[in-house]
Amino acid sequence: MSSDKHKINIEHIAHLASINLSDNEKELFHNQLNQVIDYINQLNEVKTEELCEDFSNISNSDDLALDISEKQLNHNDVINNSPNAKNGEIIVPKIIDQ
Amino acid sequence: MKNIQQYNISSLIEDLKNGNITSYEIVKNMLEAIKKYNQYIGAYLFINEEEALKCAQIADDKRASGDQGKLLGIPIAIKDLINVKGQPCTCSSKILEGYISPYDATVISNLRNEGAILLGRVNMDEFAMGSSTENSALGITSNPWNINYVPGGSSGGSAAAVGGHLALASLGSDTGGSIRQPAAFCGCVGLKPTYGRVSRYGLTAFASSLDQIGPLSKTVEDAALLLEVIAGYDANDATSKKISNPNYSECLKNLDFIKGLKIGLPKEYFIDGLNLDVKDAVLNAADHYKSLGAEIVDVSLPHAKYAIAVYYILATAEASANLARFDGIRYGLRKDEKNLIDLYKNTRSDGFGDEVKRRIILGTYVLSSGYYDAYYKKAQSVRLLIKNDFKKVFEDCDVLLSPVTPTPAYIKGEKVSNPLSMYLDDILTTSVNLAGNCALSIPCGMSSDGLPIGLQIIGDMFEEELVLKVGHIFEKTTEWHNLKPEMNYE
Repeated sequence: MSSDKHKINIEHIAHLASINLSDNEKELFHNQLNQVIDYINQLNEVKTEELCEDFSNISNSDDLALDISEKQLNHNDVINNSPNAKNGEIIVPKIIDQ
Repeated sequence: MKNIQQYNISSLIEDLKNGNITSYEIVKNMLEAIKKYNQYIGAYLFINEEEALKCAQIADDKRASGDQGKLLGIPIAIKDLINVKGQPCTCSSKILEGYISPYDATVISNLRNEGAILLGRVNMDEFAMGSSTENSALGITSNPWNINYVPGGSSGGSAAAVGGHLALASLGSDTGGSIRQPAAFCGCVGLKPTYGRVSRYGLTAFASSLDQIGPLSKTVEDAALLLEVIAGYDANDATSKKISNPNYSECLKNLDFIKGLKIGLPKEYFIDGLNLDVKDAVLNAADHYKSLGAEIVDVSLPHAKYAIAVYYILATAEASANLARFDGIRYGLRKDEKNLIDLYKNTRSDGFGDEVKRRIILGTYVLSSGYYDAYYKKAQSVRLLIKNDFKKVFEDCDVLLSPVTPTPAYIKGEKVSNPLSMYLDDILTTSVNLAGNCALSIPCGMSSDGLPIGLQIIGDMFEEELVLKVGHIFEKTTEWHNLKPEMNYE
């Protein structure tokens, strides 16, 4: 693997992202990630210590939804989108051992 | 009957009212044009031929009985990440193959309520991640002005359809320039509304604090009408603003506003490496506004150069969270495995393309333990500075003018192997998304290679009315928006 200037553990990051990477992809993304991180590190030039921490691009919404159940999506329309469904339920691999 | 190339929404509404044409005829002609040209341009992924003709007939009947829907019988193309009930919504990704939307996005309900016809779904970069539509997993889209060139992205299909006269207008989405840039590349109008102006309910999320749905159209007048229809508060979108929406079409009638209007040219947007044709076209546009009575002033957006770095931290961070839902369980592709973790990983590895994986990985990295403060929190702080730059500049001027892109459209394949080079192309558009402002892209020239050049008009928050007026007066007094591609592809 080429230069790892930023010591990026690409396998760990891919695991956090729930993505498998081939060996070629690991090398490619590792190099590209290092280049992008090099570029975004220019933000260290900017003084931000005195800013107050109101980061929202979105004004805080005072408009909270009422806790009332409203019209729902059609159950069949939703369930039928699942790759594996039966009797109105989605089937997944077993997650609890006996 | 006029050639469909000659129609825009306003002129079609006129002819429909006068009985010179029917919706059925226009939709039939448009479908024939799509059959002829889509094999070259590749704008459309799915066409609702039967449904569109049926709706056209219904629209004609409604018109005959006095229905006044603002878009009655007007065919519109939809970017393939906006949910339309009963239709696929692939986001140009393998991971959503087979998914059928169980509901309409709010913008779609709004279009239907005004009688619009949903003609089909158009191509895009996968999950809106890209600037050329080359990241689509479902096909290639070409620039209608020269099919060896990219249409831009991520709303490349929308722009190619409108620029190639295969749609009267389209709805696209803009997270870092994805309406404005392809509109500039394909010679049409594109509007990114202020964040919160248009509901995001039913828009497949890429970066929730940046995404906005907006129109791509042939004229500013058409964009104004579409904004009128799609804008408005929506209780289903907590980020949607309770703010009044003027009758944008009506507002365009007053052209006296231009005298004394103060137009700023941000010096940081006239970057080294700006294509000379683009620079000349934009500066000529500024001179044109001056000749109409506007005052042109130099202004500064001091943190503009950091926009790409901020954008690619925040947008990818948000995307890594938004795309966690694509896991093979509730919809789309599933790679069956004995255990759940392997099911998730193999589904996502097979289902996502390279650019999507790259951005998810980057977003996961900048949010990960030990890096959150250095990257994500830092980027949010610089974002605030960028936002404040715009606030300050709009204390002294009314709108800003700039290029949309550093160059006109480029040849397909030129940038696919260098992601950072493609990211840097967004330098002139991403600041607007980070700040939340509105911006319009309109045709303002042609390059020496015969490709369109776009002019960006940036407005203060919720100043779409002024931005549209500034764009409209340029169209009324120039001819750039009337140029059409030759479309001799055989």
